[in-house]
Amino acid sequence: MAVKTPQDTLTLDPIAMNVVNRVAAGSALSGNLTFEGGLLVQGELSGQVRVNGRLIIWTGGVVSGQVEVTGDFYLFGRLGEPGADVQATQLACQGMAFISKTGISTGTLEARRLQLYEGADLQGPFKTLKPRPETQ
Amino acid sequence: MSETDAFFTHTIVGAPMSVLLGRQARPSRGAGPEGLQIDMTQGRAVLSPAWQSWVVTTQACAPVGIPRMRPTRARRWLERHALLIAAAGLFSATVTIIFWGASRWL
Repeated sequence: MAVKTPQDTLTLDPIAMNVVNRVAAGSALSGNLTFEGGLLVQGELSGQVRVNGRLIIWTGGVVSGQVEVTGDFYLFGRLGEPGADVQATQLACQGMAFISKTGISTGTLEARRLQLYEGADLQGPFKTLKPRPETQ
Repeated sequence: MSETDAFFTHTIVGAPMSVLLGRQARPSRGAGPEGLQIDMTQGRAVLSPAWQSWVVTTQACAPVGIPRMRPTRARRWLERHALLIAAAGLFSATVTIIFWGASRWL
């Protein structure tokens, strides 16, 4: 008989987590974008994106392109366009990546650590991100 | 973060919320014991009763942005009906005192 482990919940507090940016549902942003502080994506985001903080892709949110995240990454929506090449979307996360049971990733995901939840759809490759060597 | 920034963050990004992540996918599933480890010779759990309350209290003050174990169904039910349970307890205590006092007096 399979033993069912308890489920995990996550408390998202935008102020405590410094998530000060939001792409609302129905909105689409594209281009060379830099976000100072965390970002909550409920709409569509594509292009060269840098997030200086945490990135949360909410259910229904889609992020594609070359993405760099300095904090943790939470995936409840979709990373990468459906049917696109895995190289079309690359996300490099300097923190920990959490792929929830509703998360779908069709791009290349790089992170220091990965936490996968049952039901998560990881179609693209995952690479362990090594810490950058200290420059003296 | 200043009060103004906090106000706009709260207004635009939203209020704090909890979201369900799901069950952790572990490669070790089925390979060894998970959760409580039961000692088959003595029939008791490894997690002592003194630590069980610690497990409960750690859920109450879990930091934001870090996944925590979802409360069990029993605990969620107890939390939803806490007021009713407290009222039932007070009511039963009152009834007990009345009956005890009446039986002593009569």
